[in-house]
Amino acid sequence: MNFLSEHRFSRRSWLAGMAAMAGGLARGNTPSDKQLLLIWLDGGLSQLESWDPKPGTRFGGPFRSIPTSVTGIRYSEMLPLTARHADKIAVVRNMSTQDNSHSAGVARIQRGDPKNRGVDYPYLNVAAGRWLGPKAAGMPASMVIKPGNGGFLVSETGFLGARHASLALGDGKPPPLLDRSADITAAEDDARLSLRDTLDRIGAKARGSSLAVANSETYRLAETLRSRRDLFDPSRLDAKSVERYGDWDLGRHILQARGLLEAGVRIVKVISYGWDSHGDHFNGSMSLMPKLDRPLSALLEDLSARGMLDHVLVVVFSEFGRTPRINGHLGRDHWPEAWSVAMAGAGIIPGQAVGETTADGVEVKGQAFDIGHMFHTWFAALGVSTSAVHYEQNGQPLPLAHEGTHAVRALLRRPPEHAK
Amino acid sequence: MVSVIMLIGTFMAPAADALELTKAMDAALALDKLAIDKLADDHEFCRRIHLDLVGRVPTTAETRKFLAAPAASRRAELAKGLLASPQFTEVWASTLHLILMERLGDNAEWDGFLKEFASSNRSFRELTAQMLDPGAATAPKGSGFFLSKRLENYGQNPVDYPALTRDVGRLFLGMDLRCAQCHDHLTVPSYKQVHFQGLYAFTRQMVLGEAAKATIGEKPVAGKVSFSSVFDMEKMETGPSLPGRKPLDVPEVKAGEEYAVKPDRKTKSSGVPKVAMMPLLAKAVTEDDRLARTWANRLARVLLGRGIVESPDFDHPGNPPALPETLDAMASALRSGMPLKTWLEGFVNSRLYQAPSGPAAGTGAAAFSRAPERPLTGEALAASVETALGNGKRDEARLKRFRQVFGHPPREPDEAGHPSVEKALFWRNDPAVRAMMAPMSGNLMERLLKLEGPALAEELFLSLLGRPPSTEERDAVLAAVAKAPQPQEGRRIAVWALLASTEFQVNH
Repeated sequence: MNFLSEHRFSRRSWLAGMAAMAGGLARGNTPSDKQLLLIWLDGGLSQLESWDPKPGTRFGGPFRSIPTSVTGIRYSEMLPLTARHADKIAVVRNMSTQDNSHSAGVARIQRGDPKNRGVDYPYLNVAAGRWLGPKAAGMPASMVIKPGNGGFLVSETGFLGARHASLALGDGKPPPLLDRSADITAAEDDARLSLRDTLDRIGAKARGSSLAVANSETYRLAETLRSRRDLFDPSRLDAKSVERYGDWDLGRHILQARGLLEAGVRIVKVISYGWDSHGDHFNGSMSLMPKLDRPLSALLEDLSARGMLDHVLVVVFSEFGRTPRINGHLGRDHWPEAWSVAMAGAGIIPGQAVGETTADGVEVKGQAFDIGHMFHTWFAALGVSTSAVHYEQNGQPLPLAHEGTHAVRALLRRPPEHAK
Repeated sequence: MVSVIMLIGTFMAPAADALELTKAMDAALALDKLAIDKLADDHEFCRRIHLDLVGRVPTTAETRKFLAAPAASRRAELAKGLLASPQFTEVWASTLHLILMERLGDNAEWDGFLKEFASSNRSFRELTAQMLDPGAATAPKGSGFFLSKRLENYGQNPVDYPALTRDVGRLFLGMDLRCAQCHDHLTVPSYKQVHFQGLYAFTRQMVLGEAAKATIGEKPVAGKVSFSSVFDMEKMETGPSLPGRKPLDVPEVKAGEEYAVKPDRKTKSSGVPKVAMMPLLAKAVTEDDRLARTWANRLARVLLGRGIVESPDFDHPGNPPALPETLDAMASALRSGMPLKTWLEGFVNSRLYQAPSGPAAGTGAAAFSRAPERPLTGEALAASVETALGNGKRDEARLKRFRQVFGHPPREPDEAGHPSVEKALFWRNDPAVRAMMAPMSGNLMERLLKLEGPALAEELFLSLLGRPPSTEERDAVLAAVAKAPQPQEGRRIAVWALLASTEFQVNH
């Protein structure tokens, strides 16, 4: 078995990261060209108003289903533009997971819900960044674009520690105060930064501070951001592209994510809030779904036209789906029992819908997949073998994904054994 | 065996005062099989307790005074002194606000209510009763904000009664029952749907009075709550009850006779029903053993950086406390009516609180043998900068700026306190930071301009980090100061480097 020691790999990826930050990526880059774009719809996307419509059934709601570019596969009429790209997408309709609360579900789904080993696993974007490392010189391995505050998302890193945290751009914007104030000389700025770094290095050694390591990273990344301001500045987005992707948060953020991937950021996660539609769900869907439909279809069109779908894996997911049953407030509540995820690119076999739910959408019909199945599948698509590679945590080998689940072969162009 | 039983008997008795709580906690550590081999050194302790109790680093004079006091009693004396300071009241009102409101919003009367509690000898039972029954004659102004804020509409969404029900379960009983709204919890067998619905039978009657005044009204009781599991659709019902307890007998009231005082549109009064649920909920929760345990766990989490039960929302047999006997000792004290200040005094004198700083040496009980780094809030950071630099009076504009950069906005789902580029750039380029570096009469910068060599490094580290520098740190700082073209620039470089260091921005 090609058992890769966490310690060995950690050190190597750390050095690679440092080299990349210093602009010397050629010395430390990993050979893979794979990239990952996660679109996280926080609150829970309704499978019935997207990938698994049930029109005309007791829980189907008022919307119709429409044909897609793949004969026999129908999406909700809420996704008319994306339906034209169904030939690039694989939908999994038989997801059945464990948590129906946001507080537990958000973390468990993004950690892949591994068996309880007494440690917190990293989120998928952090885990993938950990194994794939930075892709291009000077660019972070993993970035997040989200509404609200930006910063380093340490809470996603689990046992990998703060230094693996993704850099989040709040509202897609570059951080303010990016440029040195006019009343300080470059020499003073360099001297104080150097002393700060030295003191944090001493502190990290003396106190075992992982925060100190992450803090020093923020100062280095500030330099990267300053030099690549164009990529992180939504005001510099091309107006025609903004129109194609949609001039709203999710539209601009997905467009910006495309730019970051093109610039060599290995992993980008776009977070959108507000999908938790417990009340007035159907009017809400008419407002919400186009905000996903337009940028997702534009993204797939662009990635395909630029040849990027060969190596960029795109995943659209949430912490759960929504109840088929419509509640007293015309809303749909949380439903992990039977829901859908969608994916495209990087060797995922497109143009298919894997799995099915019962006629009323309440349960999975036949085999169900948990999030662990998806983690095995996504890691395989990214070229990381979940059977050959393990984390090592305090001497304990830990699998990348739940060992009670496996990759879904029907989704993968190359069988998982070919991953390294 | 006999001695162990006797020992258990000793500390299971509720602690009447701070010293008894300290003793009970220290004795419990042995039963929890946690050996804290050494304690935090005096510098570490002095800084830690200042940040925890009064929300700022100590001044150099305070640190020196502490170090000069008799070793046997100085820690306990320092705790007493800090607990008696006005800053304590302000800082702990803010801490309780964050625990209870989770940044949902602010209210001046609520702030006053919490400040009064923090400085009083009242028990957590009384605090909780006043929050859950704010209509009671004895309830102070502002006590209703806990419920009223949760009874507000957000946009077009209806009042989120399930969220209110969940919060009552989480914050007072340590049980997040949200998953059990529609069926028995799938992964926590002890969390049943009837538990959620029993709590909901209390909360569903509540209505918002006036948001600005944080007043609550009640609708008449509408019989039992009927529900069914989404899995088997079998019909069930329950009256108001706490999880695992017998439903209360609520007298039936004839239609048309529900109100003792009828609603009045003119006065915007929602009326007073003959059977009110809020007093019953307050009574049930405050008589429940889980209340004290949940409070103890949440307070410990603030002071230790992690809960004895982690997450504090999932206290159940499948997620046992890492230190069960210690948690019992802490909870027993609160159950006996111990007020906040006394409880904190007992807690900060315990070996558990005084563990040396460092990364966790394992999981479970072993994780508590070291104190982790806890990032400071924006408020603590602003107050610490002011204290360390000695620039004079509190600057509200600066506090606002620190809150903006280091605070945690309402409903922001991320964890607070992590390093960020934004924070790095704030330290590096914000004019507010630059302005703090100017020498002023009696401030740190002016003092440093009069010092050279090791004395300079000593003053610098003691002011900012509450400890002397190591040899390596001293050499690095003095080399940077010596290399600068001007003495003031050299000292500015050194002060800035320490302010922007990780250690200044955490409690450990």
